[in-house]
Amino acid sequence: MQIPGALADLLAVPAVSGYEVPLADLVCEQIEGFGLHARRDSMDNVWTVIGSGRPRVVIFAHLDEIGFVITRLEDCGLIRARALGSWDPYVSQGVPVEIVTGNGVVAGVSVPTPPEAADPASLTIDVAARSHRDLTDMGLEVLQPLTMTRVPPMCPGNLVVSRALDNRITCYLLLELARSLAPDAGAREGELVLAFTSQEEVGFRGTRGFAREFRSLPIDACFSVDAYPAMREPGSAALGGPVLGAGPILRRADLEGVGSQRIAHALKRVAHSLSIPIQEAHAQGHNQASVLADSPWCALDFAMASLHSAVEAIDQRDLEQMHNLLHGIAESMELFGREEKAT
Amino acid sequence: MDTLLNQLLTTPGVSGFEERVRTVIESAVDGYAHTSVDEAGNLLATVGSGSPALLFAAHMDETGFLVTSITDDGFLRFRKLGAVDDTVLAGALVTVHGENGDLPGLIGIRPPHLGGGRSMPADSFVIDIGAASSAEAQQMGATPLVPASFRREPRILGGDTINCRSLDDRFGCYALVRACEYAAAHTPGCRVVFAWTAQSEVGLRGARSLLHALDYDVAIPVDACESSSDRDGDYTVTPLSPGDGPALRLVDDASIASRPLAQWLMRLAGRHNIALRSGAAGGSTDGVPLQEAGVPMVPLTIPMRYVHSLAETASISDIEAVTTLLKRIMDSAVELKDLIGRQ
Repeated sequence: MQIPGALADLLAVPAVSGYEVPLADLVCEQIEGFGLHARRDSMDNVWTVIGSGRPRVVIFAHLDEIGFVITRLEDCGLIRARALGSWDPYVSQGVPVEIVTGNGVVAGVSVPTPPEAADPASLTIDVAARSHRDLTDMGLEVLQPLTMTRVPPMCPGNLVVSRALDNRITCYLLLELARSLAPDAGAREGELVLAFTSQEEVGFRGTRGFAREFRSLPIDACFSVDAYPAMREPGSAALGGPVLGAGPILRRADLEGVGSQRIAHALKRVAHSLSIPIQEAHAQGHNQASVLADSPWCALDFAMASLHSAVEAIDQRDLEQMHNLLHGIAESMELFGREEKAT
Repeated sequence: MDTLLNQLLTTPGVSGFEERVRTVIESAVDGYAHTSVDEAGNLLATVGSGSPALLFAAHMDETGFLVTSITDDGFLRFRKLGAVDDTVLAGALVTVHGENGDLPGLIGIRPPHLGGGRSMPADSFVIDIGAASSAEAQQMGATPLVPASFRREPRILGGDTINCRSLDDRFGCYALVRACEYAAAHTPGCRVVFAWTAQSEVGLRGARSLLHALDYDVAIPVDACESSSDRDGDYTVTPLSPGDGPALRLVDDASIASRPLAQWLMRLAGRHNIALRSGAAGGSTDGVPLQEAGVPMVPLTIPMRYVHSLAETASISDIEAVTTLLKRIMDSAVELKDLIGRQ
């Protein structure tokens, strides 16, 4: 498989939680390029509305990736940073990193600390500076974001591997969906809202702001499409639980509660009609679709291995199946309408 | 960055599988010196004749992996070649040098949501090439006993500092090539043997073979000197910062260098305004078996941070200073006759 150029372009943009502006800019540009209207709020959530009327269906992706933010510039020339999102010290220590400044990227390395002694919430970075002055001369400042070094995505075997697949892969699919629906957007019945939110990894902060925007509008179905932490190691397939390559995951329940049975049932009808295999699971995490209070939610996931590392991996077949499923939802909007209670 | 240095840094060559690196070096010195390969895989070049006989050594190999078996579900189990800390494994991108060519791969990690690296048994790290079965992996060219190396890309930090996983000891290989070119052009008044050694990281095995064929009066291995810990308060090592010049590694875990030779080198460096320091460090160098055989030996090193991790960094000016010092040693080698006589 060749990595689609559009996906590679999205992956190349650093967008740590709270610092999504460049990626939000790119997403807006692409949406407008399709002939659709891109809306954006003060938290850099971006969304577009395709079609009109009911049912109203929202599909969420999040723009942000986990990363770090500079907290101190030390006199000895080292940099201290705090985590944005959940990091494992096994993958954040002793690796190449990049700091995003207003003038470009400054290359550095994270100083290795034994994991048992490392604080997962912080990091020390070496950019080969010897003093605080060196650091400021490089254009470095407190509160600049940093990421693991961006390398081009790769495709070993059946896998797609990259940093920030969570959740750039869904941003890619939603943009592809927008592209394909744009020519007939005005004639479509039902309102499909494709939403790209900010600061998901640090507590769904963008989604909460987005929710206020849609507070007064009835939503018939709300989907999040995100990553499900899957094991991919010897023997893991025999453990049960979702695996890579067996299709999109329908997350029936997580710490936000139980998803809408109605939507789940409708989704499975769509999947069945398109011969898309669905894995069903429950999770320990949260999902952003549930943030919209009063809106029936459904969480769809990619089985993703090595989640929250520089080698996040999905199966190419799952990418294709999720693409087809999202298109299926868009073409079967009527299945997701609420039944209005008689008054 | 110098083209040859870049080529040496990016060419894979784990211990016991140094062929590609050897080919790069052979091509680089072609026309300058006649080379030979001994039974241990060392690449040797001799320039000049007479007394004293100098040996400059640098090791071609890097730490990496040897595939030992393939699981039924297509993962590659491996053993480490050289000192590779488990914390470096998680989330690493690797290249498997298979029978059909190079295969991209990764060493995955359990997501933090499922316990993270901490929860993984020590033997559970495997190489994932995206295969779903043993048969598929073998079809891709991955078989037991093929090597694998860390994927890496040289990066410049802060102007003078270079970050690349294989700096240890490809910078030394580079310095020897440049010194060999110089020797061929200036006919030293002594015999100089350049040895690019094999299997240093797995027990100095190549260096041990150097004694079989030739006698040497002085041995100078060119290698790295781990210098990260000077900021951690480790009092067993001498603080040496990259960028302040090369250093003589007078004491390490396996040798105490020749003091008269070290003093001569310090005086030589002073005469030519080359900043040369000395200190204590950990580890060992190719000079150990030579010293044990009675050859006066001093390791000539550059301070290097985060050795054997993806964050390996060193100073470009230090590398150039080592190259210059090797040239000056050859220019002044006749002075060593008195030194050898006294030892």
